[in-house]
Amino acid sequence: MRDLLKKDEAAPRLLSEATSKQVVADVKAFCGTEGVLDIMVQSWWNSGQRWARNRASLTSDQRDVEVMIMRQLRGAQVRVYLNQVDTESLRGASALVNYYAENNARNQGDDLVLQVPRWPTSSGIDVWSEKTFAHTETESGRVVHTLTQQAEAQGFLSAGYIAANAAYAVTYERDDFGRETHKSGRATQAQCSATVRHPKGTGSGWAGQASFDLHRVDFTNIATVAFDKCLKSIDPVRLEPGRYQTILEPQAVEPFVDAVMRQLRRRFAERQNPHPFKLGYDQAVGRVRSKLGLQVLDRRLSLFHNPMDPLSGTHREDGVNEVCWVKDGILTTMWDDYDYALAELDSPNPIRNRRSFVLSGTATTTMDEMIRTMKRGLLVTRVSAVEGIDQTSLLHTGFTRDGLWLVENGKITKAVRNFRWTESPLFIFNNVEEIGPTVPTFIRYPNRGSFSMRNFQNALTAHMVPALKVNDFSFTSTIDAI
Amino acid sequence: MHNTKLILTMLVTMTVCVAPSASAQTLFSRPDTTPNYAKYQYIDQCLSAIDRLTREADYKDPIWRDTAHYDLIRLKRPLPANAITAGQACLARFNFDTINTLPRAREAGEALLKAARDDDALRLYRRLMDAVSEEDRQRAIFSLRRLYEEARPMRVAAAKELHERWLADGGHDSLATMMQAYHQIAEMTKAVGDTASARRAGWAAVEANDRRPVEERNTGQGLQRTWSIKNLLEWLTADEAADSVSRSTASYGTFVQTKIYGRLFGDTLRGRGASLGRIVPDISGDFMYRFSSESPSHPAPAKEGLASYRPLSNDQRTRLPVPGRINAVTFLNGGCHEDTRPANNPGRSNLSGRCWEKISTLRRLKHKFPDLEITVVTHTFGSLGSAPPFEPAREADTLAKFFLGFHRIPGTLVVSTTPYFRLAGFDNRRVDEPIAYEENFYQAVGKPEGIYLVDETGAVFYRSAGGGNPEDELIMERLLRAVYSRVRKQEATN
Repeated sequence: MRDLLKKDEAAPRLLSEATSKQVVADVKAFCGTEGVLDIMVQSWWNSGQRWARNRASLTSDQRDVEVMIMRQLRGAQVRVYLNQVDTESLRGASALVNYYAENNARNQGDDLVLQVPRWPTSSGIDVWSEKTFAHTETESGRVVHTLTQQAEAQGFLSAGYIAANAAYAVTYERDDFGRETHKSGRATQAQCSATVRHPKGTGSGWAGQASFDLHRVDFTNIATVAFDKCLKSIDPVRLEPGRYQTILEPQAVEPFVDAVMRQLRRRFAERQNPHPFKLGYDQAVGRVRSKLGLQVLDRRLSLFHNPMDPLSGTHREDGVNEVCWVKDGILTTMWDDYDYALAELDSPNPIRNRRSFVLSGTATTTMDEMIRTMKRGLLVTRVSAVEGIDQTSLLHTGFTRDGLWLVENGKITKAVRNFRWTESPLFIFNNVEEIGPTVPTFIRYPNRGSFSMRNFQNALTAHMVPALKVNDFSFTSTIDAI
Repeated sequence: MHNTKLILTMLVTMTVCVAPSASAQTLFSRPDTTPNYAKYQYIDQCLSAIDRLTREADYKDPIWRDTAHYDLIRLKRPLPANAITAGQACLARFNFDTINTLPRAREAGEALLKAARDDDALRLYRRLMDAVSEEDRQRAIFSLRRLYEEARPMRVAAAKELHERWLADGGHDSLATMMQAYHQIAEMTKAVGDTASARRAGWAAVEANDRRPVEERNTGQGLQRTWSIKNLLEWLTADEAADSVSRSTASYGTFVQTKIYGRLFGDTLRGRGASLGRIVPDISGDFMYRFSSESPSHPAPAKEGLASYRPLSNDQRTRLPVPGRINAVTFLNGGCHEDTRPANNPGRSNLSGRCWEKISTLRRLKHKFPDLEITVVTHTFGSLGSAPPFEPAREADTLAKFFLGFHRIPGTLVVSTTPYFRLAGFDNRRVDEPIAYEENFYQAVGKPEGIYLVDETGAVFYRSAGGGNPEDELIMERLLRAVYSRVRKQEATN
């Protein structure tokens, strides 16, 4: 190994730029000059600290590297992955790729395809925080110590985790016409989640924050909010299930926006299968129409992706500007892959999926104001175990968690036992009474496999949504879990 | 002391010399270990070993699809010797006398056939048949027959015998299943060159079809079954067909209507016969290209680099189909275009299926009939492969490169620009409109698909189903030979 996976702390967490480029250069030299060649050198680092029942339970520091070599010769494609960057391994892997690519190209006529210029792809991504990358286990330990001490002093139990991740990748592409493209990208992720529970299990509070930048994760605030919510949710009362006017805190709104975002793939909305954004078959043009151009959310809501928003990290991605999925309630854009854009739109710029999103509303109001103006309703901290039930209506079900209160005549009057709810985000976002300011929410970052720099598209940075006061939210049964 | 030092030095040197070379096994080379098949514990492991060795051998010695149809390869090509040997070594330790259920017998039978132990497979099944009920006996016969049919090489004689016994025992429950059984026998025996048996079984299949009610032959699944023996009937009547086409296209049209479609479907007019004798409208398009390589047809596209071709300016264009010549006209539309995309994801984008087969057929026909005038008609789609969208002229150039250069279709490529409009508003999808020439062709002749053979007067005398069927190709070859013979006689007379 050149400069990775050494146990001493001074060793780099990621492959350096020079090493990554040297690996690319080596593989390039080992592979032939004919045909398409893709090389990706990616290294990643994950560090985490977990605690439970006021005691640290795990400290981890994981690092690895992945080299992908893909050669396509007259349509025959061979791909190899390895996690070693020494010259001998690279030579061996390249020889394997060359052997199979050349044999397949020679022997398997079925695989021959038309050679055409390839799509230009994104030039990279740069969502980076030095603070996150420099984070150490010692710092995490200190934070965990403070959080657990605070809970212990009050006689409560605390659990949670702090994580800091980083990845760096260098890629090289050569198309059938010998045109070369070099790209690089890097990204960081930081998050903290804390739950505080009453030792007798009669109350629970949660708070969490996530950002690419550890500067934006306020550990003190997380501890305070989780503790406060726990305290206020002790000894909840049972309330009849039914439809209630409900204030959804931003963290409770986020899964519903995410559910909508997952349905914004155009290919699926414009075919015969059931889909929430499918309109129907248009006989005049022989195509299935989507709801593009039609109102799908409340007129005051807009859903978009803004790569230049400092809260979501400043992206460096060519051709990826702000994408507005829903503007003033009207569905204006859906994303899809190159195939579909080519086949259906002849478009040189397909709108690609973005994993970050912003839901914002006009005429915003504060949470306090929402509570003050509520006659009788519920305040939801967050929801969990969210599952889709029906594809067409986008009906989902799940539980309320870590703080649910009854609001009466403008005041929080009592903690309420958790509910199972059954509701569609389309119903929620069309029954909006009031909208709060848009704030970043906690995101459960996917595991390492998804935090890949492949395609430079998957840097999940921020989900920013407002709190909403909605009418007739459907709580279908009470549950015993606190 | 000095001697001791010398001896030590020699010993060290010898040790270095005789030590086995540390042939470093890296992660990327297969370990040099020969499997001991005799120690395999289960029959399915033996099957896997045989299949792996077969795949490896096929991989090293592929058969280019232009050479023969895959099914013919499967029927005739024996398993590689090392696979058979491995199978025999692997199966030697198993006792087949204890097998008493059909699923296990099927697995064991397959392995035995692959290890060239046909007698043991038969003995196993005979024992099973004696021990089971009548219903299970029929299932066992069917199972064994399938094993014979699917074996490589196919055990034609044994499968045929089982088929015939099944028919003699009245195993078929309808005329349709009887027809299929005879059809199967005909196909098997034809493939291995037993023409006499093939003709006997073939006519038996056709006669079984004759006895089916006309309604059944023309509707639903019954219709599909009728279509399934159309090629067989064409093969059986090929001499008659060649004779009629050697007189005139009109005579051949009458023959097809009465002896093929009339016989298959009764007194009804069905599909493809309708285009016979119709005059192909002059082929037009916005762009034309002409293949111009010296060696037009052989052997594999793109293996020798791109073939040469040239665009035809307006004054270089001739009338198509070429009057006074025998023409093959085909349309390479959606399928070919769709298959080309996206090039950077070949797993889903192989240009495969009928498009490839049709192109191979065209190359072979041109190789056998150098005077045949091939015209390929296509149109623009706006994009190809994973490339950014093209202007029509550039797309036409790319298509020419693909069909004439890469695929070496030895003929003329005609490309029409597809008119289209875009859906209004945020939708913005492209909707293609009908292409004038294809509409004309559809009105005048029939569906623009398959290969149309056009005589010297511009009249259609044959249309293949898709173009990639080997039987279609044989029939086309036969008809072309007869037509050329007629044309030459006429030329000699004149």
